[in-house]
Amino acid sequence: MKNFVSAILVLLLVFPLCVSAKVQVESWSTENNVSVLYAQVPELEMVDMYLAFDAGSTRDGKKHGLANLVSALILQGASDLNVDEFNEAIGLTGGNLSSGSSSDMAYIKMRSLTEQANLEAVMRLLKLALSSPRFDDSDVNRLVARTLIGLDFKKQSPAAVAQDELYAELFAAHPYGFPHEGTAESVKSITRDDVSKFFNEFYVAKNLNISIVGAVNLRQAKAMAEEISSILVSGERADKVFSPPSKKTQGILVKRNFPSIQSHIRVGARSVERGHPDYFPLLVANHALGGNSLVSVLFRSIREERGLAYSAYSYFSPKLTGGSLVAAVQTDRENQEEALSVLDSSLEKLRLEGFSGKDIDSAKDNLIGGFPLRVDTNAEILNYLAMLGFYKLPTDYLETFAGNVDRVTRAEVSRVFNRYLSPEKLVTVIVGPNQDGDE
Amino acid sequence: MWPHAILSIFTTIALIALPLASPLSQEFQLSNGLKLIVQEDHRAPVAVVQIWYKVGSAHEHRGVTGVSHALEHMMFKGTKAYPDGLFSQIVAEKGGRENAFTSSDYTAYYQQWSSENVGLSFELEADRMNNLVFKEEEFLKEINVVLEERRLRTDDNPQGLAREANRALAFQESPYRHPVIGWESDIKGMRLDDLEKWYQQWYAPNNATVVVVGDVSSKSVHKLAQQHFGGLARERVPVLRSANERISQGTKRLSMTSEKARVPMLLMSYKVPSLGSVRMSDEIDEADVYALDVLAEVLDGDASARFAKHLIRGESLATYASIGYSPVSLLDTLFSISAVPAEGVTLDQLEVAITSELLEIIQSPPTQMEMQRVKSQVVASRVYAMDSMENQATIIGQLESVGLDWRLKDEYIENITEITASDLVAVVKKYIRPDALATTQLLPESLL
Repeated sequence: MKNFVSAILVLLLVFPLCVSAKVQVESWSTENNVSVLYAQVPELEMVDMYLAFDAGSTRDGKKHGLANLVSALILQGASDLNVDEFNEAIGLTGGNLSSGSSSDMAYIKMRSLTEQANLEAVMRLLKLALSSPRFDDSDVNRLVARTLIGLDFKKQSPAAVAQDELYAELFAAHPYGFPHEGTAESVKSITRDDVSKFFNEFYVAKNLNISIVGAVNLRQAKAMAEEISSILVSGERADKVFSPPSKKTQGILVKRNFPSIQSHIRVGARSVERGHPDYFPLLVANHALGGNSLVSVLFRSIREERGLAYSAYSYFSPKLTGGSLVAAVQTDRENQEEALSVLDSSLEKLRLEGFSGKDIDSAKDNLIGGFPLRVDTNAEILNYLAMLGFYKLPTDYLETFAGNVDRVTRAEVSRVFNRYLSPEKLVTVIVGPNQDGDE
Repeated sequence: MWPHAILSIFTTIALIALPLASPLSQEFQLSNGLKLIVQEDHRAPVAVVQIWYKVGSAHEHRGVTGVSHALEHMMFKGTKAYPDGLFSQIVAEKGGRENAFTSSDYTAYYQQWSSENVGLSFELEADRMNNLVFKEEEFLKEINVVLEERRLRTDDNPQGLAREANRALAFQESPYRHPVIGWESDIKGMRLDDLEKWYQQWYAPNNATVVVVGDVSSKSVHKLAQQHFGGLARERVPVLRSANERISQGTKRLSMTSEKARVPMLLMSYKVPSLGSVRMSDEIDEADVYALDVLAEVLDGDASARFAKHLIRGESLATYASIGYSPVSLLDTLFSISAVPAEGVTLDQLEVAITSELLEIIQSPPTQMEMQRVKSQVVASRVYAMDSMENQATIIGQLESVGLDWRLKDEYIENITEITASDLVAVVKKYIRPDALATTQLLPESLL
């Protein structure tokens, strides 16, 4: 094992430099104050652009699902091109436009060859979509109907049901507590007027961050960012979303009957927003718990040692005004009690005794050594830049990542574990057959 | 998995002079038969290392279905030199990602990490190719994990169950009728001995392809391969006989009702050739496969393709409609349409609409514009595909594992330039026929 240890030390020293040498991030603001992040990757003759708007489902108001619907409708025809003509035009450019939304953000992504004629053609269509989306009634109605069927799909997935139940308990009346697709009732109530009002209010320059990655030089990138930002009205910066109010609980258990063979178990708690000082300790804690795929505590105790489940993992999702940390496992109904007790006792043991030094080191080594893998494609670099821009994280985040992880101590991990995952803060959701009845 | 690939000669937008950065790729063969393919990519200081064995569910028979996949799970259980999860610990500590996947045609293992670890990948893989330890206790736990995986992916997933049933309905003789994960009773009846035999039979250097893509030099990777794999002995490996199957005695139909399903679904699968199967047969022209691939693009390539334009928008009969076709398969495979009806549309109505949309290719062959759009997209997608080293390695490994030359990765696009609208008409007439069709309707009980 000696040679492995020394190899890891070398990685620690070398990788941050490699990352910074490979991904040189430039940032600036356009004339109307849209901030832009850019990284040049000259090897492949392609360019990606990511437009991140503060127009996620936190902006839904009472019409849950509105942000999701608007983001889908952006690319359904623009100006004098109806949805068929618009899509045919995109197809001919060899480029792609796609859009979507999450709770914090709505995005539009563009991918194109750098060949001038191709790039100009995709950019023209993108600008058209941003300046004059059509929101034809037929498209609104079709996407509402599609969303409703999507909601039915979710209802047949015990994992999706468990996820929604958990967030509803964790965040209650905060927007994070609602599914971002909305509910059947709320989606049905959305009108074309709601859609265009939402678009006019939130798809504005003041709510936008731009990221660009690819084989374009700084001058070209600046021109692209200028073209996009100047087509938008300046608008008003959306209000800050309120933080989820703190809740005093005694630990919550929710059980739902479901016609499945397996029971899906999730145990979660609130964590922190992006940029919070506890971010890195929580990142390491989650990685050791269930993020470090085949060697994490949960994987070992539930799958390796007992063969109780195919997947046993945890995820840490910090957002703009709050976050969560969730452990998940699914197992045959007859193993439900055993799996839950292994999960609970693992968490308890970690609260009392902390992680072993070996688990902490292994998690940190994997996060640090694995970082180059997270930025080894243009698509991944783009996603990172978009995250940095949207969440206003420092542009040296990539370079300082390894150092920030390395500085996390075992004591800090124990502190955040006890602070955020104490028993009274945990919500447990079980969705599966033969539960004791709905609560 | 395989990107529908076509090269345009002329398109409306200037794509002609597009200089495609041809990656530096090289093939080596060790004297024990192990094949090594290296593609250099120096954008980041990392590499993906994959080892592909030519064995999957297509090589299995009833009684041991799922054995390739179960063995894949056991391959993480350790050897004498690297016991009890040490392999995974090493990969994790060095910042690596690892996993494995099994399909009907192959079983593959991979690590992605710093390119300086390629030699370590080789050492670990060479070790578990020959020295895997089979412990009853580990096997019993792992077979339960596999059962849980089956419950998660198939038994608790109405669409998954319908797909499995549709495949078994379509194929009568072909081993493609078996699910990769195996039938539940076979998994439950599996013994450690079955896995060990399977391992002895198929895991040999002359049945393996190693693919490395990343920040490496081909020459030094070749050297490392010789160092670590060179000492393994060539073994006798069974030969898979042709098991192709293209036509049935008539249309096969299955109506499923499900208590778990909330959304109805329609599956229509036509038996068609693949690049692998045409090599085993003199009757079929390889061009048919390329034409079927272009057909899939014209019908379902993007948001302007015929399915989206006519079925999803247009008449609003479908909420979702897509085509699955993998030309890179070992045996005759399926050209498979899956669709979800729009609210108020029955599965029968949707089936009629899809059938006529397919036959419409004969009445109104693809226009110049449609062919051009498909070609523009595919030329571009060849550049986009280069963004992911993992993706590049996977394409190479798949081709080799079904008995094709990995260089087809690039030639594929050129071969397909010959395809015209009238070729599409011809393959629709030839393969989209009632006696090649298996239809499965999945209806939620609540909608009965």
